[in-house]
Amino acid sequence: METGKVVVERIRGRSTVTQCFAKYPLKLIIPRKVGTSQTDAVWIYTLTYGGGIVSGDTISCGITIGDGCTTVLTTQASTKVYKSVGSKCSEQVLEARIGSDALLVLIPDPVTCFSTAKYSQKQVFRVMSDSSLLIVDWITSGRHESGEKWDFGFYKSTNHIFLEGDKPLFLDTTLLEQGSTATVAERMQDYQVIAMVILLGWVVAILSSSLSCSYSLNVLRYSVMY
Amino acid sequence: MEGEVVINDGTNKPASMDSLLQWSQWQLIDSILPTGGFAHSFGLEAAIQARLVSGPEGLRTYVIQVLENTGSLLLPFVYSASISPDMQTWHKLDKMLDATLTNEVGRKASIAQGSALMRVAAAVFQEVPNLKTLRDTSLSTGAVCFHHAPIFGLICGLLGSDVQTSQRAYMFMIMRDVISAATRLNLVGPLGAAVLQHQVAVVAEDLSKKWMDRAVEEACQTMPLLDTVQGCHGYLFSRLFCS
Repeated sequence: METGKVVVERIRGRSTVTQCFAKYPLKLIIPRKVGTSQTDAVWIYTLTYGGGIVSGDTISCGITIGDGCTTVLTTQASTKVYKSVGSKCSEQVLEARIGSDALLVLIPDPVTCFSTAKYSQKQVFRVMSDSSLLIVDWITSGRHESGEKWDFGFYKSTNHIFLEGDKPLFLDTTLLEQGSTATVAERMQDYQVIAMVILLGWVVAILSSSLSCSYSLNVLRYSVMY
Repeated sequence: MEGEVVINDGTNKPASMDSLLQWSQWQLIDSILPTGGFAHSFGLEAAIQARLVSGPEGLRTYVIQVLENTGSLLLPFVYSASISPDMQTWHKLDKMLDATLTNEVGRKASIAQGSALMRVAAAVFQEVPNLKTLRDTSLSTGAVCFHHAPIFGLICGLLGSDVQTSQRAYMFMIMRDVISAATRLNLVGPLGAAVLQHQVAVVAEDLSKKWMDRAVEEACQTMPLLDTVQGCHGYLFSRLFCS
């Protein structure tokens, strides 16, 4: 049973939410006045009750962006994943269908896993050949003010993009698990954030070409971005 | 009266066939096989220039991290290809790996090594005519990128290698190539490299056991820093290696 569902369709020439459903532990807020009146974009904020994901929570959300629509999916604050109780793993799943000439911008705050937390997220995007995507997926090392640096138990993030049904365009899973040959902190060295940005489609082509000009070897020294 | 051939009770194959297979296996993982593996440092050159690796202790850690990431990301492709060494499986795995290798440097390196390996194998292992047929058909349709890991699994499967040996051999090859790159990058001398390789073999065996026999849907990367650094190889002003 899905925890949340949103459908965005083009009504009278504007991106409009035609279906919206969410149940505990997920809450969806769709404010009307985020962008200017000239901008045609639906802004959706995903929230969790209590400000974070509790051990064992499972959240699954389905979103459909109709042809020609623009939707932004974001969060109110960083996604905090609380400590794992009884080795339970929390999970978030997002299934998004993006229509022809449509744009989905997924720009959440980063995930922050507390000490011993176990968290897994999977995001599957099904696009058409002229769809556009801007996805940011990122994680911080934890509550480093409290001394927690890469101290969680298990973090797995999957991002899959399929073209026109089932053609794999982009398959990425990052797994950070304590133990085996090195702790997560050891393999991350002094870096405190990992971020991945995916740009796809004609709408973001201009943005991506200006980005690749400004980045050089400095990327290695000051940030981790790929 | 039986001839020279002795039947092996376990497998019903003549024992001489098992012995011949060993010669083929050794040739496949010998660095003298002209597959161009020596042109790739697996991100080591970029890691050294970015000061993420320095000295022999840093190298040891780096080799182990490369092996862990190889196990988690690529071993499932070797496994799946070796248990089902046919055209359809190979093409499906190749497409999946092409979508999975999001690091463009790693992706190009995989294609270069895979193409070279397929070409060499088709020419060398002539007792397996399938290899040449698969290669020629795939070249003409252009449907395949020729990624390295599935091709290695495919060859091992067609040669009759057991699945565990094939996966272990893949890990061995990666370890061999990173350490060899380290010698040429002056991070360690040839004798020191040989000592290191033997010491790391214990860890490599544990990692092989941990990551072997998994489905490709489980493939994941476990060393994001390594992946990022390798992706920066193209930005290096002066470089010895292709990747």
